[in-house]
Amino acid sequence: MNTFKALIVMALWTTIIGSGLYFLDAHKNYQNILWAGGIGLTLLIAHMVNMLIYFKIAGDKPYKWSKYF
Amino acid sequence: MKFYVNARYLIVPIMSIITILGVLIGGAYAWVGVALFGINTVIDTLTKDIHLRADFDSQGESYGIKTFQYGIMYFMLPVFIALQIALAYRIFQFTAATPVQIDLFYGIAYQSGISGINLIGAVLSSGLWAGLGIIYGHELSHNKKEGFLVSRLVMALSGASHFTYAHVYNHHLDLGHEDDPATAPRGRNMYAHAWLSHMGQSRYSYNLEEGRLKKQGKSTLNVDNRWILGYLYSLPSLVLFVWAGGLIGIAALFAVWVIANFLLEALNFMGHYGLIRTHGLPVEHRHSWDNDSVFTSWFFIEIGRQCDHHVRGETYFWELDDVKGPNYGIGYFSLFVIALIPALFRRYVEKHLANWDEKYATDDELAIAAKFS
Repeated sequence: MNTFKALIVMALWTTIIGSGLYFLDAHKNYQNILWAGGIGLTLLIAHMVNMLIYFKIAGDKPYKWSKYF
Repeated sequence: MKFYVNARYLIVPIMSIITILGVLIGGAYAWVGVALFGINTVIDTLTKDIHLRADFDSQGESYGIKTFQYGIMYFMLPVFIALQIALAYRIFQFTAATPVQIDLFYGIAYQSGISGINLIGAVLSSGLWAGLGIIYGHELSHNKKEGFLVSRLVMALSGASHFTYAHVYNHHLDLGHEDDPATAPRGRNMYAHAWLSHMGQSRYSYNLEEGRLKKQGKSTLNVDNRWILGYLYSLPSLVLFVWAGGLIGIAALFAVWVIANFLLEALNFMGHYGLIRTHGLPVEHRHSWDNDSVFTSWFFIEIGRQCDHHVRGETYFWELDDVKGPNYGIGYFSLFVIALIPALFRRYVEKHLANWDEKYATDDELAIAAKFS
């Protein structure tokens, strides 16, 4: 259940970042190398935040052995 | 003999370069990496009964040449960078709608421009070979000098630089126990394991840095944080793919990372599935599965000799040997295909786990196993 919650929050966070980039016209300017650098860094930070969201919400899930998972 | 022992580990470097050339030549050749993966699976299955020992001379010295083998492993970093650049070049052509036509490059025919279907082939080829190349990231993670950084950089090309720390300080020390996310318990399938192991290892690496920086009185949000630094090593790949293709470029890099990390975690899954170690007791040969058929051994630079590797982690791969530990008896390619179908894998592994329970497990380990069987 915690994994599911984490995935929902991660999806929301990713959507916010994606929408932000869209409204900034990132999709029209990505071939400008400065824009490419900014978009790349933004996506990387979004990815790291996604990982932290998972760590926070899912907790010890990756470490827990259960009978069916 | 010396030449043969050293040259036999060149399968991946040669095939990686063929994959890059396939992407650059274009057309149906963009699929060559996928085709090679399929051919390797057939060869691995046909040679599953051939198992060789490590080769030593009459003085007991290995024939392996350290300078040569390390040179090749370091050489693989620019090879994998070239693979990403080749794919980015094709994505750039696709998004720029470059006409698909045959051109000549110094007399060599290649396809300028790329169709959507062949671009998918190029992405799959790149993902599979980036994933197979992770074997060098693994081997170099056990090097305490510059090789460790090269390992981090190789893994960063797949967005998994955290692996280097987690593998050495988590997986090797906590093997066969819940504290090691890379050990798959009985009943878990490879898909679930890929996700949990990846996230668990990244979390270990983050916690390691959080604790280290706290002791130094520093904030976690710091460029000294090697978890953050590891992800920053992946930034050049991201910028390249964003620049080359915008959303299509991002989707392609995401696919490459997912495939590469899935293959990495598949190796972890196959190497330790269902094996258990009582916490606090030493890691022994019986806590890993060997996969040492001849093609797997040469292709995966002996990574399949897990039993010996986990007891002698600092030993060069060409010196690892058969220690008569638990053994599936088949190679990684064959086992990977079986593991792709969870029900089939569970049936296949049942007899091997029963054998492990009977011949290798202690009473304490059997008690833990009973909870999950």
